[in-house]
Amino acid sequence: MYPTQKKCLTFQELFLSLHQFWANQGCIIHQSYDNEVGAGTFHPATFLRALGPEPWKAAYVQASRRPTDGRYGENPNRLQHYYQYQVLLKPAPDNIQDLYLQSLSSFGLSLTDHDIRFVQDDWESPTLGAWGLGWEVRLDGMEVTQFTYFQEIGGIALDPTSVEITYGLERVAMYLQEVDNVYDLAWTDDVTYRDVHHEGEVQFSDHNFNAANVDALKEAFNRSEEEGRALISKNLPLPAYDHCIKSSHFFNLLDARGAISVTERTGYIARVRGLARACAAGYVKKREEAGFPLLKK
Amino acid sequence: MNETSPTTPPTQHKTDRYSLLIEIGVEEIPSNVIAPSLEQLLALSKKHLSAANLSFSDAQVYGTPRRMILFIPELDAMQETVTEVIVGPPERAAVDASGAPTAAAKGFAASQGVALSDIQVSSAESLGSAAKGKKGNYLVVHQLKAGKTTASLLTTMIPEIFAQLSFPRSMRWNETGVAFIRPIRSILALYKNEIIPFSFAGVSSGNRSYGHHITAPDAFEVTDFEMYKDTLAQRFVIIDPEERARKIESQMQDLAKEKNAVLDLTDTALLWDAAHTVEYPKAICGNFETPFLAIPKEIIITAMAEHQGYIPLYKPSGELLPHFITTLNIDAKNLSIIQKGNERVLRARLVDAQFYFDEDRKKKLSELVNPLQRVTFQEKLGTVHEKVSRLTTLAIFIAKAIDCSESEILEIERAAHLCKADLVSGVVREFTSLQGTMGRIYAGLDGEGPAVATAIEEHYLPRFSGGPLPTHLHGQVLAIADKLDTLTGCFGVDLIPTGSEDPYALRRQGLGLIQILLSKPVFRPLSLAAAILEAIHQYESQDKFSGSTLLQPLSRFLKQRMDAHLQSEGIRYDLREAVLFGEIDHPADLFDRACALAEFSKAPLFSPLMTAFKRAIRILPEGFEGKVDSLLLNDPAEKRLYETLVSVQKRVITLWTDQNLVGVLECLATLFEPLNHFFDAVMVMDKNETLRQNRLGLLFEIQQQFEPFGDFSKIVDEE
Repeated sequence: MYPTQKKCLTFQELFLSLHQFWANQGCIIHQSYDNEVGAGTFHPATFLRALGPEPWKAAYVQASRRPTDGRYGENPNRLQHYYQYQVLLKPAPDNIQDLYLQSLSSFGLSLTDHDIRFVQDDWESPTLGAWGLGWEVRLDGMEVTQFTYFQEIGGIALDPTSVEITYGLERVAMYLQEVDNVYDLAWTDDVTYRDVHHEGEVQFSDHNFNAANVDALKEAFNRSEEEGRALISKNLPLPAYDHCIKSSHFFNLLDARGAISVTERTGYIARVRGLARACAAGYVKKREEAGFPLLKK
Repeated sequence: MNETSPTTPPTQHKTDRYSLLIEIGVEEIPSNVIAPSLEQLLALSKKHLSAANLSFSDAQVYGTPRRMILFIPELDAMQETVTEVIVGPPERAAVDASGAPTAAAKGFAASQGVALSDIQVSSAESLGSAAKGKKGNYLVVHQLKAGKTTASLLTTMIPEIFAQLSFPRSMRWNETGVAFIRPIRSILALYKNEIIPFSFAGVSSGNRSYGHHITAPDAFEVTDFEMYKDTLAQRFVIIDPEERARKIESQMQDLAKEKNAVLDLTDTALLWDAAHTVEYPKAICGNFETPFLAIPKEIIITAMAEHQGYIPLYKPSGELLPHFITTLNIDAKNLSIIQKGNERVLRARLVDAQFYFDEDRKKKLSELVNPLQRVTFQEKLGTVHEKVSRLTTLAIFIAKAIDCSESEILEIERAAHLCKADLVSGVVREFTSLQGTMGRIYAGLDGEGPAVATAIEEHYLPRFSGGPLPTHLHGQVLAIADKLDTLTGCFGVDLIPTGSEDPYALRRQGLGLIQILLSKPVFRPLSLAAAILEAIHQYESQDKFSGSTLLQPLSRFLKQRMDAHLQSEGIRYDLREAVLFGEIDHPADLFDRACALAEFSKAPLFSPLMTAFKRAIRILPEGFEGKVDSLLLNDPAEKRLYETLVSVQKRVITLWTDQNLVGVLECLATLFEPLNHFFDAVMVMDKNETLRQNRLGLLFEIQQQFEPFGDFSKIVDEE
């Protein structure tokens, strides 16, 4: 099928190829953040590091959670827990589009055999007070990557501008392995995605939609917000940001439980955003006090 | 200080002309931004060149997602040489008593670098603007001022043009801080086939361009436009969007022919959108499994069109075929890989759609009405379920007001009950644009009558400003009720549109409401005020708010929508103001009066009639009311006016009854001549109180004839 590939790439070979490729471009290979996040953008290695004048290059796999996307392991395309491969480059290199295309070649995709398209996508995260312009990249019609030039994060305009590249790992792998069901993905030659994650999808779907305790979640949301605010006032933006991430996750769970009305939604989102802004401002201040150490490297 | 002024050059031969070629290489521009950006590039370039006094011909723009191109085959090589008249000191200060030149004259000559003999004397008047406000004779020098070369002008002009391009949403990407639609990565700038040197957004201009990003990314040197265009075509870039659109269309038609299928390209936006997303179009046909055709075709078409932009194929008989067309940006060796990829994407979407449809069909549409209790319509206005209950009563009220039959009323009631139920269906939650459509389909499958099913879909119309209106009676009644309910509710909780803020699209809904009321004569008997009061009553009976003060602001809002509608029909603002003066209880009557007035306003008598009429009402004291007593009339002019009035009064009654509104106006126009004569011959404000009151009474009665039509004092007479 693919003349340039000897055999199908396993799921782990896919992100190992990407690690190698972006390491070669000078990225530090970071690790998944140890808090529940909705996307790789929430990782401090993106959200915070994109702020301020210091250069930064990082790549990592981020396990991401979208509680409302749970389908009890029955839908071939939707997961409440999935993986993003996240790259953040600051400043954005002039040849970044070419680098991205090369990264596709790195796992054996022959560019001239496919229809690769950059389709307009104005990215916005009301929760993070962030926006950027760019594209979703489609491979033969399938969206495989979000490609965004960040313009603002936590309400702060970015200078220099960062570029964020987010690969949907399962999508890419499904394409490469020609499978129509995510659970059929070969993680290795012997172990499938089903073996690793199916039971989790079943249990967490039940948790997200039925079992999670709404009152406890509401309380947890309030406490996280409170704690985050308190830590900001103690000039501890990094731990404060952890609470911002937590509050966002509690909100997502409440949303999945159907415990938030349309009008309440806006209020919740505004509260997370308020905290995110405070963390962003606190982080930049700290870095400035430290003399922006990475500028000297 | 000397003053200068360019004058038209004496005898100047035309300068040589050369071609200008500019290409801005950009990362993928959003497809809907390309055409407007190219228009801007063209307009700005013409403006700047003209401002620099450079003439040119046949300026053209081209573009792809990755480049914006300006080509001008002939552009002046230089600004024209102009003679500048430099005005020096006055003659009296330039010559001393002995007739010798003074220091002032010598200084002037020296400052201009000419001999004293080159200096002339001219009168201030003959110098025009160069010696504005001066009198007498002055020393002058005629200096030839050479124009600048176009090549040198372009080095600053082109970056200025780039900087002035504006976009719906711009971004920054490097340290220059320049904002543009997407990052600029290359600039080709040639005049006379030589590089115009400048730098913009950190990119230096040059003579290089690049082929297709994936299949021919290498740079090549450009010598001229023909070579540029041809080389790009070889390197998989067709620069002309029209050529790409034509190519896509013919490729699509060929593919359709192969499948014995037909395409629906009535929406040309599909074609243009495809043309604006590729540099090198290649349409291919993909397939999906036939069993999916069991899903209603509306769902399949939406699943294909939304997000993916796939174009459906039909049998000549109109049935959907299990194929789709998509346009690629590459003509790969093995297109089947790409085809399979796209088929896989569509299959995933169709599997989803099938799942939701099957789930939905496990229940009847009517079973989805109760779950609407969990759907918020608006925080303060309660649930959609409550809305359904209100709009059902309102729809019945409207149906009765327009004399619907018992069976029609029952059908309307049923349709109202079901019209929002599909909001909780799986398909609509997945494809929100199918709201109403799924309701119609599910109602049909449940065995509801066609009138009920159609009304469910139609009640959302118009879906966008200027979109199609409902065409069936049941759908029209339901659409009116739904819109009135939303408008009343939003006004009741102070969600009134201000400026550009209109989150609930109340303006569109108001305009839609007016347009539906105007679309069929059957709605003529409906009193809008009565319907609004009923809508208010519904909210009050649900304890949502007290609406005692709402009728007036709602009427005013609908009057503004009526005004917008009349404006879109091309009716002049003063005529609109005249007919909108009164209540808007029966929009169709108001609309007829506006049209009659607009038609009559083209008649030669219109303007003088208005002048005479306004003269008459200006004389009437504020709040004056009175009658004319024919026995008190003594002047022949007033007697004649009175007789005409009596005859007008008789005739207009029939004309109003016959709805011959232009006839009414023509009839009123017969008052013009006697009215004018009256003003010429008679003093209205006579010293005699009785006579004065009687004449005012006569004018008042005339004014009364005009009043049912509108407030004619708003009309601007242009004579």
